[in-house]
Amino acid sequence: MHRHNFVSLMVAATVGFGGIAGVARADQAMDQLASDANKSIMVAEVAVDQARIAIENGKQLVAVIPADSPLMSEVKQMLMAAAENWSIAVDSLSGAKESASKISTASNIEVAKDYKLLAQVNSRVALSGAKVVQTSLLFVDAVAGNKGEALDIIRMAMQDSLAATSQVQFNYERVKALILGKYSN
Amino acid sequence: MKMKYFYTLALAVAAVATIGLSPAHAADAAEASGMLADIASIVVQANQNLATVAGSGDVDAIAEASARADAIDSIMAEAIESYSALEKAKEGGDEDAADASYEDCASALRRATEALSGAIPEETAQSKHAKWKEGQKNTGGGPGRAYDPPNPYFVPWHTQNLQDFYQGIFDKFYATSPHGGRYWEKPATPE
Repeated sequence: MHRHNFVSLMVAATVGFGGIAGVARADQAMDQLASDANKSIMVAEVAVDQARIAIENGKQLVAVIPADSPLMSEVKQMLMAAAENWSIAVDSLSGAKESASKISTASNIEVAKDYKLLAQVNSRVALSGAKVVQTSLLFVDAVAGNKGEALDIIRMAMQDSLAATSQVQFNYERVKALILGKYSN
Repeated sequence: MKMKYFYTLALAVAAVATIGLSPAHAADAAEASGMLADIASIVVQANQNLATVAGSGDVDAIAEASARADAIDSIMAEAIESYSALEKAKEGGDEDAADASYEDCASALRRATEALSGAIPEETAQSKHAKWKEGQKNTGGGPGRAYDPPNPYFVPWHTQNLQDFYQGIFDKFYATSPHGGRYWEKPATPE
């Protein structure tokens, strides 16, 4: 009889302790997910701030370039790319923050993981958009400063950056579709 | 009776193990796609670094930034291939192959992160100029990458059908020539 009670006690204690430990671990995992997402957002925020400063400087640089400069049309194209990517960066950053804020209130760890992934990928879209803004304004800076030898390299870097940025955006859309597919099935 | 308690205990231990341990990692296409986004954003950062040093006139710094950008670009192309392999494996229900492709994507992300600020992988470091020269060779179906522009000088001789088609035109041309296709009877000299 004593042995019977002892075994029952052992089972109850093991299940109870395991359950409490499991809940504690889940909370810890949620915190870790939120922390990872916030780290990505912070990196993107720094890049967006740098892009904002680059845009402010760029306004003064454009005024330095003569209106009849043969590079003026290219400068305009770069500024258009900068404007487009700036709005993408700002929108994506706010989207990333929204997804990150939902991690702690997620119903379970799997949903929290999905919010974390969305926050991280969205912050990558913001980061790459902000970096493209900076690269395009480096071109404006090179034209204004008559750094002719740098133009070819910046052109090539810009071309590669735009191709890679579209890859980031494409993968963001794919992640969204895959996550949506998980919950609609 | 004794066996019943033994089974109860075993069940409890199994339950604890299920609650306590995280499930084994399965290749997740969404996570892998997120990794591709990460690597592509590293490509953008590397190119921004290159554009930054371009204006400095420091040749060594430009060469280093260019090598980093190229290395990461190559890693990106590899990662895209790994993701395609993951998708195919998932479609075919081959979980082991999917896991291996997922690991390849994860390894590509680690290497890209390392190449941005750490050591440049030598096997992938190639200057943009060297790569451009390589792209100009009319090799007819040489290895291409996702960002490569199409080669306008490409002659698709490697397909047998096209070769037959062009040889057919060649034969008809000689058959309708003044020599009646017997061009080997053409005199060596006009006299």
